[in-house]
Amino acid sequence: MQTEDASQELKVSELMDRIRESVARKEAQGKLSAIDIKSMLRELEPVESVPVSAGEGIRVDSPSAIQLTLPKINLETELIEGGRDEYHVNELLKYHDKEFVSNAYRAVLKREADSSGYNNYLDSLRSGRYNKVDILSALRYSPEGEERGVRIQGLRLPATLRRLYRLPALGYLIQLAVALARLPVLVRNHSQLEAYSFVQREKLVEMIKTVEASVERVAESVRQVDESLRTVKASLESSLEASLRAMEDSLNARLHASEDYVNAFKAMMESQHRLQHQQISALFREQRRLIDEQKELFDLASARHALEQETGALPADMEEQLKQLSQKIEDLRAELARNERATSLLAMSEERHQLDALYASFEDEFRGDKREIKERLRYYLPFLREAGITGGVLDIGCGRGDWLELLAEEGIEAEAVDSNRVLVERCRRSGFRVAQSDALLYLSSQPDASLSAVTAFHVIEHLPFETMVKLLDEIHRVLVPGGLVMLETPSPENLVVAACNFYSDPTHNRPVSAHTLKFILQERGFDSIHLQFIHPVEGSPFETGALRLESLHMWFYGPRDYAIVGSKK
Amino acid sequence: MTRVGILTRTMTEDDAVGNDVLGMYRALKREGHDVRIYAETWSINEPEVHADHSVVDFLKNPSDILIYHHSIGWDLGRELLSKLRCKTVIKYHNVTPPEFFEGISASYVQIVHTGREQLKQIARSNHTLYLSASEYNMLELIEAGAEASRNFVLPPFHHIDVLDSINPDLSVIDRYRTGRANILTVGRVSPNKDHASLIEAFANYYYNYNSNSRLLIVGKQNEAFEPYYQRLRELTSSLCLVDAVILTDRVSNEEMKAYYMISHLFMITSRHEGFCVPLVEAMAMKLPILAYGSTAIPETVGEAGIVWDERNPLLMAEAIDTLIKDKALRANLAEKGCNRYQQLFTNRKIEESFLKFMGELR
Repeated sequence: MQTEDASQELKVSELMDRIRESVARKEAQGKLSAIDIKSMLRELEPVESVPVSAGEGIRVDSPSAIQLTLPKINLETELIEGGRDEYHVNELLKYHDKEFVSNAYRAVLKREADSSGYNNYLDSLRSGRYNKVDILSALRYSPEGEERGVRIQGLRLPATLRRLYRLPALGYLIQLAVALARLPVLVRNHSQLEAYSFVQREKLVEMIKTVEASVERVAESVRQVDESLRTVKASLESSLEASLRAMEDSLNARLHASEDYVNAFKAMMESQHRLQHQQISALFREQRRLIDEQKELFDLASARHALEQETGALPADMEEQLKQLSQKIEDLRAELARNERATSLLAMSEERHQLDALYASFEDEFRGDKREIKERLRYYLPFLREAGITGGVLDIGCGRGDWLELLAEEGIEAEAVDSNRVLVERCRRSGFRVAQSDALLYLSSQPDASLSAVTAFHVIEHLPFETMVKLLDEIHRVLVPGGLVMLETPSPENLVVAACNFYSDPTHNRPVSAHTLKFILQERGFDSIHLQFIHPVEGSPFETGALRLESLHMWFYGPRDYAIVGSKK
Repeated sequence: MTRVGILTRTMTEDDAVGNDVLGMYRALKREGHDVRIYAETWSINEPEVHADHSVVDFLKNPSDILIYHHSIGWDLGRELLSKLRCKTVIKYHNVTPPEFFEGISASYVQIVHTGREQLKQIARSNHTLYLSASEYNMLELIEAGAEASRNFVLPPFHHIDVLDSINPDLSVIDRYRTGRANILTVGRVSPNKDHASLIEAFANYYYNYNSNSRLLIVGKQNEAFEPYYQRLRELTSSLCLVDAVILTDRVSNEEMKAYYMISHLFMITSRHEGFCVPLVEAMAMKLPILAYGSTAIPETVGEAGIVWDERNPLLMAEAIDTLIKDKALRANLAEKGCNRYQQLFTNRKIEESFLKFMGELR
């Protein structure tokens, strides 16, 4: 759903309709799976109620689904407040372990335990080195405890006793006596502890049961989901299988029906043939035997006529099928012929390239010294410069790439095309962009008005006339208006060139007359045509004033090539 | 020069009422009036805010003007309003109905319940002028008994000019401009905004279309709504969207600007809005808008965004997908929003109409 034109006024209602339709379509195709949060929302627990009379409420429905509710069990005892100045020792002794130490600090020293004291007392307590009374009295009668002055009822006596226990020998006896005296209390404490533990154990068991039940409920839900998924999968599979089977059945049925039809038709034809044959022989026999019983003969003839009519009325669709079949055979034949032609063309074009290497070495031998050629090609640079062209130059038939080198030195961007694989490879290795292709083919793949200049030096003399004109047309098409075409070709006005040198290149077709070429360029849409004969032969004996044989000079020592430059109108 | 007192229960810089009070204060001040702001509690130093009860000493003449901002229950405010003998203007921002806070905060239920009750009294008290943030609010006032000819609509002043003038917070941009589609909602995180629906719509997009996406819920949270937040957290974790749904709590203006910049579209599924300033911010910040059309939302968005009459998360998801995929369409819709902002909601336009109303009072 792309908007084609952003500037176009956007109709939001239309956009919304599109979205609606799209959702409806995707839903119908089963591409969307709606996610419904209702089952995931926890019901809010009511906070303290407030009378509300105004307004109508909007309730969010939130039915509870799988819910795991764990009972709360409090195994910890609350910490005591440190704000009081007086405690009974039993208030503090009822705590155990960590809680005891923390609470002792809070009650006696009015602060949280520092970590070293806390750990130290906890270790002593756990190892049995100290008991709780020792710790309480140690805290209470420490300098800090004295300063706080918290009163702990019932601590003085046990504390004193504990101190007495430490007396040598006597201590043990005192301890024994006190232990005996405290025995009933200890027993009572012990049974209290036992009862407490039992209650805690009960609570734990209950909690575990509840957890178990919740887990079972969750497991049950998971199992149900799993089961329903399985059911869905099974039903999907079976419906898919059923529809596949139905399709297969119907195909089979149709195949059988058509087979039956063909067989029936065959049988009918055969029986008719047989019948016809019998009738004809009967007819002959009858003819001979009952030549004068014309009435019977007539009946037979009309029967035969009817039969023939029947035979003629082949089912129309069979005829149609036959026609299609023969058409197909024709098509196949034609395709085969085309393939053969293509194969031979391919072979031919491959053949053409077999001479590439040979022509490359020919160029090396006959084109002339690279430096000299480059020097000569400088002639064309001013045309480019004057037209302000610094790129977009295509060189057709680049050969060894002399011109490309020159252009590169001048900083003019260029590319080239040549059909000779060997030369193309060489140019590419020198870093030039060269396409290996037929020039016409290559040009036809270029967009209109995409190049600033097209050059083709010593190319057109290789081409048949029609191809040459086609090439010029294509060049015209790909040039931008004002773009330049620059051609160079041997001048047949030098007779030695026209008669001998031209034919030293076995791939040359025919010399092109300068004035013919100029005319063609004008006719095909180029103007400002500049024609110049170049590369005169040196050492002419006819040039000297005395002989004044100008025409002879021109014929034999005149310029060997001409340059022609035109620009697209 | 007229004496004008602006009375509001709480005066803070980062809520709609506070910004509206400031906008009015500045506009009147520029006109050369003697303006003062009165409140029960406040968190700004500049301009000076005076204690609520002292307004009776300031507005003594019948030609003085009191502008009372009504958005919540306030017994003293109501009392002051009936005590003063000057001209009284009511600016009604709407009061969220108590049902939204049930099961979440008893004190909020109480305070908005009072606000609703006081709305009826205010509507029937024949004040000089009633200005409502939206037509939706105005109809509530008229329905509650206010005289239609004294009722007008005036959109609230806002702080978009501030957003325009500051630089965005770069850390927000670095954190969230990561190639993920960012869907933004802005506003106090309050139960009436129905964030569950928002998350639901996003989940439908995330799982049906594009999991390379993220929902940004930008706005101040309130401790009183903790049970609501707890519920939202449970919902996101049940949907396995903990990493894709981000609640920011309060952000600075610079961060706010950054959030608008890194987001691809603005989505809101609120069930109760008296105007919804964030919608106008989204328009100004050129974000396309997607919304469910409850209360004042259709009126504020107009034709400048996609507003669904029905609450269907699949429609929302498809709309998100359509917009996320098509940049040109997004730009087109955003442009419509921006035009609407320019035509109706700039502080300049609001100031023009506000001063016109005030001029007619004299």
